[in-house]
Amino acid sequence: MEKKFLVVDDSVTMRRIVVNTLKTIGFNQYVEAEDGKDALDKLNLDMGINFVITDWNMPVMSGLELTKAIRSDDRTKGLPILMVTTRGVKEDIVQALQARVSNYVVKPFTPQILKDKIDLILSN
Amino acid sequence: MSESAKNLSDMVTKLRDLDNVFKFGEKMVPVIEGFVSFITDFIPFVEQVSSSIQDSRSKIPEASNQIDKVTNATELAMTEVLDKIDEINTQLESVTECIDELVEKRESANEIIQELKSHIVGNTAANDLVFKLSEKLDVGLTLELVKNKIREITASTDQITMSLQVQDITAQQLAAVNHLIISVQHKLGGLLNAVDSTEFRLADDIKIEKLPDVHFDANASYNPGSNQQVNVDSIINKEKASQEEIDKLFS
Repeated sequence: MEKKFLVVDDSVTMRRIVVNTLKTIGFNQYVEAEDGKDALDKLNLDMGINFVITDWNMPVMSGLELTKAIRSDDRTKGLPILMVTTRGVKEDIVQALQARVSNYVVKPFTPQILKDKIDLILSN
Repeated sequence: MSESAKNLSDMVTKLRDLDNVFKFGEKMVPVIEGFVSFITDFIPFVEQVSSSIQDSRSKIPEASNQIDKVTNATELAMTEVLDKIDEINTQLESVTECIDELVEKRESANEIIQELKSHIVGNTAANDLVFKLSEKLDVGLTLELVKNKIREITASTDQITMSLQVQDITAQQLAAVNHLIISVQHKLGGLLNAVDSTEFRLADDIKIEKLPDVHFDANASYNPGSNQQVNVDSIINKEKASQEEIDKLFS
């Protein structure tokens, strides 16, 4: 079954870049959301999303809050979550891991890094 | 000493005290005059400071607005660049398809030439012509070169796309600056009220921006050549390893 991605970022440019990268590496199914709340709304619509790629710093609801919300809901707690963010300090990474993100990519990333992380998550 | 003599003595003492007070007062008059003069000079200065603060504060919303405009304009420009990149990639895909079609046609032509050769055995002139035709149709190397060029162009557009991530990073840096100047506006507002707390000042019509929520990374930086991801992976591996050790203790 082809994976359907939920790409969450408040920057239109970043969403385009992530989506283009997904297409380049062979994933063509995706839904976009502009913040954590929008992402939760889309998850609640049951659109067949089975992978979340989220930014951290967003208005309304951050990526970290979104991760916690996804993990606390029985319907979504098993979803793979890849955090893609500018925050590269240890404290942030530890915080994200404690919120149970599946993996962590720091911006700017290359298509290869994104592909490797998605493959790693899917292989687990 | 009689009662009246004691009273007179007390009165003399009190008069001396009063005399001392007057003498001290005389000495203090220039000091007080200097102080009054200083305060008189200081009032216009305070008013100037107050006016200056008010002026600076009134310019902040404009500066903040200008930063928002820069962010929005940059995002719009980046979207246009990405649109163009998409167009280029679509055109490159079309060119690649055309090349694949040419390769197929060349292979078919080669098969026909081979068949033709079997029909002209012994005819030297015809064989020479078929050989020349075969040479003319041999564009495999050229097509491969074109395909390599297309791959290089695609790699370049991918690189441009990746570099455009700088927009998100600069947007966060600008948001941090915006937050900082709005914080300064609030501080200046407080200062202004402290300097002059009359009704007129408090009711002024300067718009105080609400402090925006912090949803940016003030430390965001664009370091494409750095080992940031390697460092992140190393931290993740260490953290996961230590978590596994903790899990083992409880299992």
